[in-house]
Amino acid sequence: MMRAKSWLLAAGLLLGVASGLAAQEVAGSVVDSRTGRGIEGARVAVQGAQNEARTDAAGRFRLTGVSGTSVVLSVTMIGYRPTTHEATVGRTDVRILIVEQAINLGEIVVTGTAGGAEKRTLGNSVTTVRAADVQEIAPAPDISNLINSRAPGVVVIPATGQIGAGPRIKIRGTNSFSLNDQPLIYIDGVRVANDVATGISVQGFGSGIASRLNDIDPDVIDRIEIIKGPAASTLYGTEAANGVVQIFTKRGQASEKPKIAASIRQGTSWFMNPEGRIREPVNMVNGQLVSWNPVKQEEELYKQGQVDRPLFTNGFGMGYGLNISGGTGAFRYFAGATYDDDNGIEPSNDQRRFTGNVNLSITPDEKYDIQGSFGFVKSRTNQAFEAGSGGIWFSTIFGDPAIVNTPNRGFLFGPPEYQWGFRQASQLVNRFTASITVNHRPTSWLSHRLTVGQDQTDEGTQQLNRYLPPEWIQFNPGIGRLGLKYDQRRTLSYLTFDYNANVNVKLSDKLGSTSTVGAQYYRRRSDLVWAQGEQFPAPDLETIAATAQTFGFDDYVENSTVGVFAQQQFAINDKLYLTGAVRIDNNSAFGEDFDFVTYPKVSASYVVAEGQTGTISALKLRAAYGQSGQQPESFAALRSYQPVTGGDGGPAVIPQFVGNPDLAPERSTELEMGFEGGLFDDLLAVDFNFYYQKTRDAILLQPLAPSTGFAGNQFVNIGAIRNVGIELQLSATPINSRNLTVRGDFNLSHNKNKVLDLGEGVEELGTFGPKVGYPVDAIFRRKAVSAELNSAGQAINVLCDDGNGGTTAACSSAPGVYLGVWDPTWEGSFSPTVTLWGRLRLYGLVDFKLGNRHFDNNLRALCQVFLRCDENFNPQNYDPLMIAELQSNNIMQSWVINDASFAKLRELSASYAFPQHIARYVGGSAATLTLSARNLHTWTNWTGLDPEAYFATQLFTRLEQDNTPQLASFMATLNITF
Amino acid sequence: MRKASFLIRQAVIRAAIVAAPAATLVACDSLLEAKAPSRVLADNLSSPANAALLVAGARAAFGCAYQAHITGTALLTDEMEDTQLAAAAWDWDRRDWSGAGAYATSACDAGQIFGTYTPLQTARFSAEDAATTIGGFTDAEVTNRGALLAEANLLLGYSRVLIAESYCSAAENLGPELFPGDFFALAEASFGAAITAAQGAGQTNIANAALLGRARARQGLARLPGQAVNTAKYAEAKADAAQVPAGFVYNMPYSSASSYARNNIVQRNRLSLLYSVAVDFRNLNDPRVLVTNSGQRGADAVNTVWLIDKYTDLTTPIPLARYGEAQLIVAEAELAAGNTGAAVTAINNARAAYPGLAPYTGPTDAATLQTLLISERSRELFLEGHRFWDTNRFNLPLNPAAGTPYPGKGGTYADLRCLPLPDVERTNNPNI
Repeated sequence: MMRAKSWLLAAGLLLGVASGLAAQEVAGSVVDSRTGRGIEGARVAVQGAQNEARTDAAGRFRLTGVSGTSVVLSVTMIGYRPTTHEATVGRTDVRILIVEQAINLGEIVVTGTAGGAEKRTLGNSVTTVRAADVQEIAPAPDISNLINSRAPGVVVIPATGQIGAGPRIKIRGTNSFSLNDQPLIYIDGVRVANDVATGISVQGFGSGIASRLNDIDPDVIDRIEIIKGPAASTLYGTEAANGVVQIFTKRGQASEKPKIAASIRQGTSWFMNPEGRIREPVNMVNGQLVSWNPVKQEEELYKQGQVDRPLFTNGFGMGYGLNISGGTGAFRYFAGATYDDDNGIEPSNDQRRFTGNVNLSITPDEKYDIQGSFGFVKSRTNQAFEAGSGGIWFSTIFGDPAIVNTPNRGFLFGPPEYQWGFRQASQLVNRFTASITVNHRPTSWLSHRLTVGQDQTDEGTQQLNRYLPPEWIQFNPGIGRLGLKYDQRRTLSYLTFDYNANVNVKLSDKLGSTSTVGAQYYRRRSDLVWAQGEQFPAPDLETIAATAQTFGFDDYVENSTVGVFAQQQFAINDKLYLTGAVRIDNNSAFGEDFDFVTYPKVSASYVVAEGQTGTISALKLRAAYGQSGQQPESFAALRSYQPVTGGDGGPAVIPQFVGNPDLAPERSTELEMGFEGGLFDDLLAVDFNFYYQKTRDAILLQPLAPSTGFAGNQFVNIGAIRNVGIELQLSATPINSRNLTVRGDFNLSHNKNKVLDLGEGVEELGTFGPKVGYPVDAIFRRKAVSAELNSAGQAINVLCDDGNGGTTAACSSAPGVYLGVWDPTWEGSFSPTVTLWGRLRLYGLVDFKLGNRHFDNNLRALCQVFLRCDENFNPQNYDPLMIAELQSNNIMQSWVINDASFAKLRELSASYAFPQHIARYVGGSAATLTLSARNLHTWTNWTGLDPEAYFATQLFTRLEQDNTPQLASFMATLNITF
Repeated sequence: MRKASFLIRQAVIRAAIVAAPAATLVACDSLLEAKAPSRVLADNLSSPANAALLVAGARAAFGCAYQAHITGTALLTDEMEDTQLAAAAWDWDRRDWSGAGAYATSACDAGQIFGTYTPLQTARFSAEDAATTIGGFTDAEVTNRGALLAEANLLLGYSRVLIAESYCSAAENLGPELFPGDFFALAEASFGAAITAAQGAGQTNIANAALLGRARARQGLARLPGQAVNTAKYAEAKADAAQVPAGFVYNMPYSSASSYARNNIVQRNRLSLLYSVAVDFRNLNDPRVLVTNSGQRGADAVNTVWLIDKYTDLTTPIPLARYGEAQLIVAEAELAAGNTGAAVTAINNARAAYPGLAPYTGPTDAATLQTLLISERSRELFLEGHRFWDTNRFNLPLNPAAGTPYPGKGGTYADLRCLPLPDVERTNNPNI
């Protein structure tokens, strides 16, 4: 039906041209020069005439009653530079590119108050990532890639390159010793799960890899606003000290007819240069030192038809999206669905995800509007085993040339087909996020808002180790040959109740007042059931009930926050904005001897210049001071016992947590100062921030003396941490002509971190623990500073750094010396965009992270545990210091804690917006084809596989061992608007 | 007038708006109630109704700590060796723990990287807590109070004995540093309390186990490493041990219901192939040391695993106190007193429990019998947690010797004869 309508439309247009009627109109579209997206609401007027029109949701306009052979069109749009465009009368495919203003002080951002706030009023910075724009230029597969390098001060640290994995995100450094370091996440006003490293421990040592953040499909997001520190997040209260990431999904825009958009992507991902990155193990075989190249070996066996696939293959990926939006002024809608099917480089790693989103906006009259957002995600992710859990990575990287001619083919614990075949891990997710916001404006000076919402995630995580067939028992002769199954079901729910009200009063011509009060209630519940079965009696069984040994447990954790706030803002001459606020919170995890916490905030912003020409076209100065906090973990204050089964099979209890009735939240205080401005007639936009952040009552997970009878640690408020940093964002459009637009974006941030206090009289915690005067994530390890090799290649006369500028021969008791930090101190990116002829956009993004070190446990284990390095056989060819540490029983580790700084060619894309007549061939009004690639090259001195790979669960340590590196990828995406 | 009404209306609305959030705070307490159905809060435990539960907890904690103690000390000696790949646990076998090692903080039910200090302290604390709490109740308040008190004190005594026998020093309840002699003395008192309570409650089995436990503590005091032999303590030990009847055994029970409850020696050796019987105990041809060559490579894909036939199932109980041990304590005491004949009699009393094991008829000089006694203890008490303490107090040669390269996994064997006071205790105990 749609296709028939399209043909009729095309036929009508042809008839119109033939009859000469089109000579009285000009039509086309107004698009963003950088992203190529249609701009809604732009005013298009004919110079010297009365004709004008507004663009619709797709950026389209139509001017009728135009006379003459050509006209000059004048285009204006808030946030964009005014522009003119000469057009031939009669043309209906005029394409006008408009360029964003360097800064847009009128942009509305959400800050915790009703209705949002104009950027001009804010004393703090809020970074906006326009997701829809990014997806046009370089489609990101997940939110992590969407945010990465687009918000200075926000460091995205991926852990593994597996499909379906997620990163840790750190905003403005580390401000806690022990608590969760992840920012709060909101979707359309409701708090949602921000868990990282969930699911089955496919990385070993307790790490899952699935991130709840990456459940959300980037294609349904309109924009992401990031509030970075306590100075800005005060109104979000306890838990917001790590910053707040607010995700806003796409909403419908008023249009005459429904706008339908479809997207199709196809692509592939691969492990770039595995032979050059996997160190070849060596061993003595028949008196000869031989090495082993597993990638080449498997490739050749595959070519010979002896194995079914090479060691690593290209992973095919595809995605489909369809949405419809539109409506009138009173009712607008957006409904969309996406389906993604992505495969990793191993057959055991893939993800299939369906998302559905419905957003409704109802405005019964000018006093009310109701916004509803409903999102659904259903996914299944199969995860490969890596890191400490084995899988092909462990067997490959620690392979042995001496067993090449055995059924192992050199792989330490069996060949790849065994690793892929005998066990699998998966996570099923059903997630529903819903929010309803009611805005009420009973009078001209009063508005208030109520948001109620729920985010519920049902995770079904499984691991199945199969009952081994006879030919595979040799690779796993223990009880593991009989198989096992784990099944973890977790329901994670977040409830949000958020009310606030604004009273706006014009106190005089020059003085305005905005008073805001609000109350919030957040509740998080985690309800987990775990079942485990070991030892299947026969092959092909897959249920826990079929196993010989079954275990199970369940757990329920609940945490609630109640808070209120009041804020007063004065606007003087619409240039100076002074804001003061106070927030009071209580949380169920606070100790019984601690009542509530109060967080104050003050800020100022001053608009020095706006809409001017010349060197400074716009300038806003800003400063903010505020506090926020971080609650302790649930039940951390309570002394509790754990129910266990005794050896006699009966119930018993054993000491679990010692508790701390005085436990209070961490309190972070931040001073932030900066400016944003447009320079040189808006050619250059600058946004600069300086922040000084101090966390007091930092919660330290202090080890308990086991003689107390309680194992583990106790949460105590004793520490203090300081973070100081800068953030710089530059955006320049040096060339902006009809046929060529060149834009460059540059981000840079630096963070310096320091432990100020560890409690009275305490300067350090343990040999390798945090120390006063050093960063929280400081690395302390023993280090050899002098050594010789004897004729047998044994390190002798080894001296270690004694930590006081001298040396000691007692290396095993030497102190750890400072080697650096785990997380980057500098990070940034450069992304140029070149637009040719208004249709072809070439885009690239290089990001870098500098100043940090990682632990190369691939190297350590290969050389020190398995003794399969050339250094083990020919130590005389290497640095004696390195050999001394290698031979040290893991006492000295500086040799494997190496520079992990890097720069990556993260994104590269070419995007072409087809002329309208071509789009019409498929019944559309616009069509764009984007070819994009990711992670094509890395510049680094890192000794391991990837400077971004580590165990996802690690709060501080960044240790790479058999992790899947970030994959290179290529993708073709076709977007069509109907 | 209009302006006044506007201002009044504005004030009312403002007051209402402020009142709403304030009401939220008032409702705060009920909103903040968080259920904790999977945790037992300490306040809820201290009632007479939970007396049996407290003892069950002490029993569970000790059972788990006990099997970890046996595995760990067996690896430190020539009883067992490592066949797994977790480098953090190799120092058990390499006898090379420093104070920061995993032996201090790891759990007792972990497969590879398990520990003993924290589990033993948890067991000690649980038993002491139970004994103290139940001691504060009356017989009328608690059913079987005497039996519960006896068992709690028995487990407290054995926790202290195991700490004394494996740690160079330790502490109790954030107290000062205590040494093996201190712990043996404390254990002696605990066993005394257990004996009194058990005899009062007619709990013969617990009483015998406590008698043997006190004998073991007194035996420990009689021959502390580096100190002169205390013959008086030997005499006291003999007096206790001699009361233990033939055939007596007090087992710690194990269940396959959870990793905490199961016999993890079996899990680590027979099922997961993580640790093997070591060379010295593989071919003794002795009914007390039954082992089998599995023919399988261990989890390290290199070393062959020899299986312990003494413990074959996750539910196999582990003896805590046995007649055979009692007789060997008697033999040791007799030997210390110069009564070689009585010593041989006691040794043969122990051997008599094994059909086919002939009585000892060899030389009866003191030196030979001392060597025999140590050998008999190593076999009779194979993998029951005695060998490490014997190696220390008898200053036995280490095999492999210190300095020998640790095969395949780097480093060399060290000469650890007692586990050092863990850093976690030293750093966080204000009295050390």
